[in-house]
Amino acid sequence: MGKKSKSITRGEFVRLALYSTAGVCVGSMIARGNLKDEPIGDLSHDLENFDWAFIVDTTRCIGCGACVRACGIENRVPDGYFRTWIERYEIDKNENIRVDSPDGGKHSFKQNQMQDKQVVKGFFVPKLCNHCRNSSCTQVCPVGATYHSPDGVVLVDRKHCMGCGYCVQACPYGCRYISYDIGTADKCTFCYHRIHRGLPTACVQACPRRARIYGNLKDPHNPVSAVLHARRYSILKPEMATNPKCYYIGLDLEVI
Amino acid sequence: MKNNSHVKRIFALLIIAGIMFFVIRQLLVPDTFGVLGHYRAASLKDILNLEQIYQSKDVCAQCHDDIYNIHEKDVHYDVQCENCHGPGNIHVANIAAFLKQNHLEPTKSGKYSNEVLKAVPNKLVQMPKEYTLEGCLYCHRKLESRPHDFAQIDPKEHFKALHVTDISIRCVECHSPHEPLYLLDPVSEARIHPAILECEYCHKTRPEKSHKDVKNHPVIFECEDCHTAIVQDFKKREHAFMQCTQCHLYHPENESSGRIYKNGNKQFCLLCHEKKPFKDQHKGPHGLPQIDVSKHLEKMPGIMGKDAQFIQKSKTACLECHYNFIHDSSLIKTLREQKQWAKKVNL
Repeated sequence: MGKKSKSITRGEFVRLALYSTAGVCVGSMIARGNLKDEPIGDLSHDLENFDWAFIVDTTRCIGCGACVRACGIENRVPDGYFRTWIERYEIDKNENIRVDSPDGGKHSFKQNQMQDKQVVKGFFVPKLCNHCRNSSCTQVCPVGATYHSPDGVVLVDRKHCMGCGYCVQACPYGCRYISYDIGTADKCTFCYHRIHRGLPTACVQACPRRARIYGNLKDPHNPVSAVLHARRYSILKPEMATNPKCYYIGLDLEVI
Repeated sequence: MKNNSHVKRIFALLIIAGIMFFVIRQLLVPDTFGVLGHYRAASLKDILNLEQIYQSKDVCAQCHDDIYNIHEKDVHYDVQCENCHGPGNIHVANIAAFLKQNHLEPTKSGKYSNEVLKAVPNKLVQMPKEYTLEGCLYCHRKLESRPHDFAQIDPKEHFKALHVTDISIRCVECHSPHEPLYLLDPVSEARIHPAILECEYCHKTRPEKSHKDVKNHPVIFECEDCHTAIVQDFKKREHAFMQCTQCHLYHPENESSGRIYKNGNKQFCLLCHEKKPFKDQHKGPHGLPQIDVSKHLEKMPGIMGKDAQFIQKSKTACLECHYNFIHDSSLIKTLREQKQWAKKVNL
């Protein structure tokens, strides 16, 4: 066998165990000192009046990238990561499909991808977190750092997240990333800080074509229900049974 | 049992470990964890208290109301200021800090006078700008994937048509971004024409698709069908290669509702006819007539019998003289009197 390991007596073992327990206790106290929760007051009662939902109208999107830029500015998204991005789909006569999203569509699209072939159908699909009702990302979090808020938005607790990345792998839509500047998981929050101040989300505000609509499903006069009752809509990856709250108008079968 | 001290010790250790577990758990789990669910409820507050960076055009309008008023009336009304000018919070914060530092007070209406605002150094005011050629092409580059009812250009073709030789120029050299002059696609034109306001005029039931979703809708009518005399006259003149709708546009929001809004103002004519350094100077009077506006207008007061300032400001300065390059103005008057178009569509 290999090198003989140094043996310790039972007394030493118990002492060591006690020391380490004491260490954990002190560490906890320090950690506790750093994280003091402010009282939440009547927050949950207030939030129960809301149930946020989102619509993306792919028939109106022109792929200008204003939403991606606005989101990046508002939420300080690091370069190369996206909370929302635009995919371009081009389909030719022979049903060949090409999909691209250069730099998330942040600086729009420079030229047609299919130079040689004739495009019969082309469209842009902006994507963002679907804020699923049965989200897989919240189920896998080992520390409860990502959750459904009482008003139906999937959020990340930056102070609690340890950046293990399980949620990034679990999301079937690829909407999460580990932000290298804060070291935790991050994602679209529906601009939670804006919508509760009565402002539209940054991407909704920036969209020059009104291809993005947000609304509170508990408000009988909200624009989301009005559009969903008038137009034909779909959701992304219904087979995943995540029950998303982001609806797509004019979604093609090719979009995944 | 003779000697059970080891059992006692084990139980003692287990009890201590149990107590320690609860103490440590109490210390480690945040106060609000589990109040609303399996998460730290206070994190909702953290997120709610985040700073708002992206402002809206209404915020910009508080100071720049002159530009805002123009912008609101034209087709770019849905484009936020910050889409082209970049985030405004630093711009506002810089100016506010400067004004506070120098103890400058607003006027009674709560606004700062122009003199005060001019004192702010340019460095603090400047915002990143995206209105280079590329900035406009973010939205307006011709792409197969773009909805076909959206205004798009291929810069190469556009420059060729206007004899532009220097392709590094910016769109804003000719087009004002706050007041762009807009051309509609044929289907949308027909729909907003006063004679056909609703799809139901032709469709018996309401169509599923909006007029904006219909790419290849057949042409409903030609302008010539009703405005026969004027179109035939137009076709004899210099601008015959152009479409009526390149200048005329029905504007639903316009107060002159029911009429064709005219783009016949000076700026519109100058989009093509202004002499610019980046255009091919040799395309003289025969290719694309180009004029130097200020020099051209200097000569006018004597000819027109009006004062120079009026002509400089007049929006329809070009048409005052050059109406016959387009169509005979007397034809319009007779047409209006007879209400020929109204009879034809049974209104």
